[in-house]
Amino acid sequence: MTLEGMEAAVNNAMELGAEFCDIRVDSWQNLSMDIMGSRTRNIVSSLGSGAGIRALIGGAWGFATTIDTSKGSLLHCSKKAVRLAKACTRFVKKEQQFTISEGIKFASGRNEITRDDEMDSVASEEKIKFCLDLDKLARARSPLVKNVILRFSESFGKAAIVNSRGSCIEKSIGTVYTIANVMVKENDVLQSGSEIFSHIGCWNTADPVAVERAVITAADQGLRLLKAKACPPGAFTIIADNKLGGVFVHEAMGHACEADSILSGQSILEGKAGEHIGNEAVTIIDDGSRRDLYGYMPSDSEGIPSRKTTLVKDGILVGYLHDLETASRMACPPTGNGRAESFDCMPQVRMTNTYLEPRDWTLDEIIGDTKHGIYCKNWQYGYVEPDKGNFMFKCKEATMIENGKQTTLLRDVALSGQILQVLHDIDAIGNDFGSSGGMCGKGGQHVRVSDASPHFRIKNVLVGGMEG
Amino acid sequence: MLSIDDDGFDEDAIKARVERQIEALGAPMYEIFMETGASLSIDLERGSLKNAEIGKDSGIGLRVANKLGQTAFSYTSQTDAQSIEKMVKNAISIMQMATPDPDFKSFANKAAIINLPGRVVFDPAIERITIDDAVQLVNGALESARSNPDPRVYSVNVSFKASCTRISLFNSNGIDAREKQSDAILTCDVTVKDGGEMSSDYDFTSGRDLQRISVDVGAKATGLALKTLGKVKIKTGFYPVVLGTRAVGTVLAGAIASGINAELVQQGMSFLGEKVGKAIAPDHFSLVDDPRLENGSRVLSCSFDGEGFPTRRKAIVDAGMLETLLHNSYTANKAGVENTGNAVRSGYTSPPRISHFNLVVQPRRDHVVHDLYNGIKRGIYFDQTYDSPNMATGDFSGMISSGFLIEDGTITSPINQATFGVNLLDLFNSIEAYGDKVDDRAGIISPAIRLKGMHVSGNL
Repeated sequence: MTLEGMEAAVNNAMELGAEFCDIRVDSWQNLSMDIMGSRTRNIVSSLGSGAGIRALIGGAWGFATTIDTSKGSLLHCSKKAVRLAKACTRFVKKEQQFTISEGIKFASGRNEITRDDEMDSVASEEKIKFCLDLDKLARARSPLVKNVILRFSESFGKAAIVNSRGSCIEKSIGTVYTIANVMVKENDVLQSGSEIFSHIGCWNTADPVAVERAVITAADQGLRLLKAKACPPGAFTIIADNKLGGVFVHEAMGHACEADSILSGQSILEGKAGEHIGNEAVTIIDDGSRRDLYGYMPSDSEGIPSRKTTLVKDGILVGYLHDLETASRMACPPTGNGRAESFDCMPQVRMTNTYLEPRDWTLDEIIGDTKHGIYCKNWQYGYVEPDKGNFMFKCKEATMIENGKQTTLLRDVALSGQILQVLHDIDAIGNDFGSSGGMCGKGGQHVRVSDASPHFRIKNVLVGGMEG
Repeated sequence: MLSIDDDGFDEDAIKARVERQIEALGAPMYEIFMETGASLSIDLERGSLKNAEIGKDSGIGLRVANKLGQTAFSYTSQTDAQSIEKMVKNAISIMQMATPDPDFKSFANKAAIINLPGRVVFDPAIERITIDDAVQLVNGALESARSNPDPRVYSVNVSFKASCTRISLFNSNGIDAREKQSDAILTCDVTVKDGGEMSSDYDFTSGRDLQRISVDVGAKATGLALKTLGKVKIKTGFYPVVLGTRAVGTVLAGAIASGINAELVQQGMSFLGEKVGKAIAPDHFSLVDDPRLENGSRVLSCSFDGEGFPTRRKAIVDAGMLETLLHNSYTANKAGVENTGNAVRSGYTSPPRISHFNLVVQPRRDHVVHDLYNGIKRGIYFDQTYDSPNMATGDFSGMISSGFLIEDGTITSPINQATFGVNLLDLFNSIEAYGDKVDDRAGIISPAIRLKGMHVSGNL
């Protein structure tokens, strides 16, 4: 990697008048494929690279990107970034001017989570064969399995970050992400089950048995859903499992804690720091340094080391997630949450591994204590509107709970709640803990995250059902 | 600033280089997609400029195939001989590991492309845009938003993005297709506060030409956001519903177009799989997929599809009957039907997928009414949702992200929090009437539409 060219580009930007400058050069290798109808489709094997340079002047960023990472191109790009920043500076309001705070500690040095040769240490052929066998595995669960749609994606990325504060980082990390979608049909009823497997590291370090387990889980879920009933509409007490609970924490609280939305006046949590926003049993954390979770990274896209940040402590809002800009503007330390999807995107404030801390209920106790409710498992997707205070997510399957017992199986349960109310409505938190990895989208950029939680119970959640 | 004519990306030279490598390494069939482009974007946060970005990107996406029907894809953003060799090697070696597929016959066949007039897909004014022009647009939208003196307006955020691309497609069947395209979009987000209540809305203008971009979007966004204040709770029940154009895109036109993706259907994943030739909506409803649209925002207009096959206007639903699936060359060959030219690319880094172009809802005239709300005693104006349906079953439940109460024929209050649940086939069949004002939003061209109703959950 052209560290020398990167340093030259940063120096050039500073000489041209930048107050702060950083440059990221990414290079990557990926292998992805779809399995559909027991055949490979869309097999992709590729390499790529590119660079993005950011210059800050008077509170405005200029950002220029290129796919040519030669020194000459980087120098040209740094000039462009400075020119853009200068063009914007005069339109920055006085109260919104800022510089990157002095005294911020950047990471430096090499961080090799995955070695250069790991991705190629297992032949692509072997990976393809493994995926085709997963198709057979799912079909073997039942003759009702009609199709298996599997997406497999493995990538190895190297990133170098150099900035005008003397930080120079090189890191390399591999990831594996698979989604299995199993279609089942009985008489005229079509259903599907799905499950994700995510892993930090290349395929050589992944656990194939866990992938097989995910595929079986997807198939069995689809088969169960054939018998599921549509959900009744209305407000219900719900119990969230680990995976759905994690997404709940991510959507209901995580996004609204991102400081960029606070500064842009688009979060309902603005000005609420120090206030009771939930039951005192609720503690919510974001921690990018957890190596065991899919949102792990040694440092963020701005060179800030990952760390644990408490967002809600015993029901009180105590912190926001920051990147360099929001931390500087709000005069607090950055939290290592400035993340960019790739070289051609500006970093944004993003979550990493977000979770609700466990308490003392067992799952049996929570269910036994619930007179009338819905036990909701796993997630399809979720989203939030931090400026309206609404969030919504969909679970994969659910069961009705009547008098402390699980009864009818339900499908397509959509849940919606309000940020400022829902944490108050959590009234039982379990003693277990589980996570799921996924991709989170914001402002057109997707980054890997994981969400985790114990089982917990929430009162008065609005459910979008289909039966009258 | 966004000029791409002299960017040194020489398609003919690159094509020759790629073809030489393919010949040397051996792949009987191939398809080369090339794209070179430049984009400018700028963000304004609460009246203050925050950042400006310029990006230049170009690259090559290659698909290869052999007689056994083994196919694979690779790409590169570098055009030097070594990178191209690596891309071709990658593609061919991975192709040999792919499953043989007797349904694969060939990449798209060569067919005469009638290029849309250049002005339809490309505006030189976007190519010439400067950072100062962009600043003027975002500031104009801000001023427009702020022209409303209502003290409840809390924050205004504006962004603008413009881009120019030149795309070209070549394949072993002799396809040679080229087009220059431009896009611009100006978006305004407005957050409003009233006491303890906070809400928001947004509006945008987009188009292939700069003239479509109007700074009035600011005032429109402010107007929309202010209307969302004063939310009321509603009771759970079955309500008559009027779908606004934003919702038509997601729950009606877009849902039909997604459901007839031939790939999805062939994999048994769509609730519309068995419905071609059958009625799926009342006979006063028609829907057209129109990549040849020459007027309006026409953001999805293009002369050829993501495989270089000519695009064409086609009825998807004609007088209630589902007419066709949307095909690319593979699904058309597999089904033994004509290719509809619906392969769509999202850049050179991935193979094409199937999608729709501009969608035009065409109501029969006798069902168009001036006052859609007339006669609705208590109903819901369903403005927007971000949810997506279960395509396998057509079941669709989600949150009404923006909705209003209709009382005695008039829109009254915004709704506090509501979720909905409906099967899409029931929804299509429940269309009753259409408004007389047509909206053009990012490729969805439709009036508001009245439905018999759906289940809505509220928290009153």
